[in-house]
Amino acid sequence: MVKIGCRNLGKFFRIGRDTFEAVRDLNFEVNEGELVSVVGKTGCGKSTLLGILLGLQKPTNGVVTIDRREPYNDFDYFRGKLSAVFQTDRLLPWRTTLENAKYGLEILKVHKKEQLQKARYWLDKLGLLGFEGAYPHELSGGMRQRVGIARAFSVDPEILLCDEAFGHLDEVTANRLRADFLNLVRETKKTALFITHDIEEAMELGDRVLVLGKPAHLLMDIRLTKGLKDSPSGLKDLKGRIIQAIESDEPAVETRA
Amino acid sequence: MGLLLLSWQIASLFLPEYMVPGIQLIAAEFVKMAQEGTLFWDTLLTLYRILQGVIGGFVAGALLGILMGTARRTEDYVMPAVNFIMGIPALSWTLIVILWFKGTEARIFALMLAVSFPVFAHSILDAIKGISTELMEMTLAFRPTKSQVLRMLIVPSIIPHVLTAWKVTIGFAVRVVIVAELVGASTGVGYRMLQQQSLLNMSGVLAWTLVLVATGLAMQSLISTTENRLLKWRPGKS
Repeated sequence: MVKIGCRNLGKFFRIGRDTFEAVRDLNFEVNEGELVSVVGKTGCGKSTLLGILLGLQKPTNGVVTIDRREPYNDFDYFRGKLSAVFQTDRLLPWRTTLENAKYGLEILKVHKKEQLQKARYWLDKLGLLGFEGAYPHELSGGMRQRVGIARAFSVDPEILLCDEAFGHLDEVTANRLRADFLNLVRETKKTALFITHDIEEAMELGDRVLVLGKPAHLLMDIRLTKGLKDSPSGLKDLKGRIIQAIESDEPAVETRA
Repeated sequence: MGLLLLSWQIASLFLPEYMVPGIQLIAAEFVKMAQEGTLFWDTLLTLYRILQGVIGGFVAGALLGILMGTARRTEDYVMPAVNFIMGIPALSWTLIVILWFKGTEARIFALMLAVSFPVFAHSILDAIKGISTELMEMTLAFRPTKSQVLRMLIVPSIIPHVLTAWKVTIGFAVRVVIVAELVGASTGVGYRMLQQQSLLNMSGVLAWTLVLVATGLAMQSLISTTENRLLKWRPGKS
C-alpha cells in the first residue's frame, strides 16, 4: 500500500528579488513499511522535502500525500502520525532527558502515567536509563541525539522522517547510533525516510535509495536486495554509479540489482 | 562599606547636622519612624504601589508582546504607539496622570503602568522573535494546539528575557514612584521624605533613602532567587 506519494512536486523560494528553485518535478512513492533513503548533494533541497513532508512548508507545484492526505492542508490529521529526527538534536534546553523524551506524548495528551512509562521505555531502549534527570547541556552530542530519537519513537508514529540524523557526530558514535536506530526501526516496522548526503549511510539504512539531483528531482530509484546489501563489491559498484549520476546530474535508467 | 561609614561619621563631627548627620542620629530616626508606625506602613504602601503598577504593566506588556509576536502584521500597527508612549518622559507622565485621574492610587497606578508596560512589550516581542525556528518546527511536527505551543515552547523560551525586564523595570519603578509620591501623595516613602526635607531634617531624609535602597535591593534579590530557581537548567548554574 502506498504510504507516501510525491507527484510533480516543485518548490520555489523567494529570496529578496530572486527566486530559488529547491525542488523540481519530483516523483516517487513509498510503500507502507518501506525504509527509503534519499541521497543527494548538500543544498539540493532534501531538507525542503522534509519540511513539505512534515506539512511545515507548502508545495509550489504538485502534491505530496501521506495516506492520501496533504500534510500542509490537512495539518491536524497528522497529529501523532509523524515523527522527525533532525540533524541537530533539537532538545528543549530547559527540559531534562525524561521531560524531553515525553514532549510529544504531552502534546498528544497521553495519560501522565503512560507518558512516563513510554518515555522510560524508549530511553531504556536507547541506553539512557540513569540520565533521566540530566539537562541537555550535561549530555554528550551522541546522547543528546539518542534523546531526540527516543522522543521520536515514544509517540509511536506511523512514519519516521530523518534528516542527516547522524551527520553531526563523530564516526564511531555515528556508526553505533545508526546501527541501533536501524534495529529499532526494523523492530517497530515503521515506514521511514532517511535523508542524507552520505551515500554509504543511504545504502546501509535504506532498502531503497532515491538519488536526487539539484534542484531536487529523481535521478535514480534503486532497490537494494538482501544479496546486494551483503556484497561489498556490489555496494562499491553501486556507490560509484550513484556518484556518477549525481555528478553528471542526468536521470539514469532505473536499476534493479 | 565600613570605610565609607567611618569617613561619614568623621565628617559629621565637622559639618553641620543638616548636611552630614551622625549615624547615631539616623539610627534614632529609624527608632522614631518605627514607633510612629510610618516605617512599616509607608514602606509597605510604597512597595504595594510599585508592585501593583509593575504587575499591571507586565500583564499589559506581555499581552501586547505576545499579540505582536504571534499575530502577523500587528507589530506594524501597535509598535509605533508603544514607542510613542515609551518616548514620553516619566516626569511628563506624572503631570499628565494628575490631570487625567482623580485619587492618589489611581494616578500612581496609571503612571506605573504607562512607564513599565512598553519595556515588557518590547522585551517579550524580542524574546518571541528570538525563539528558535528549529525548536518550533520540531514542536509543530507533533501537531500541538496553539495553547500548547504557548505553554510548552513560547513561555519557557521567553522566561529569561522576562526576568531581565523585571529587574530593569523594578529599579526604574522605585525611582518613578518616589517622584509621584513627592508630587502628588500624602502617604508613602516619597511623601515622608518630602516632609523631612521641609523640616530640614537631614537624618530623616537619609533614613527614608536607606529604606528605599533596601526595598530596591530586596526586590532585586527576590528576582535573582526566582531566576536561579527557574533557570537551573542553564549551563553553569546548578
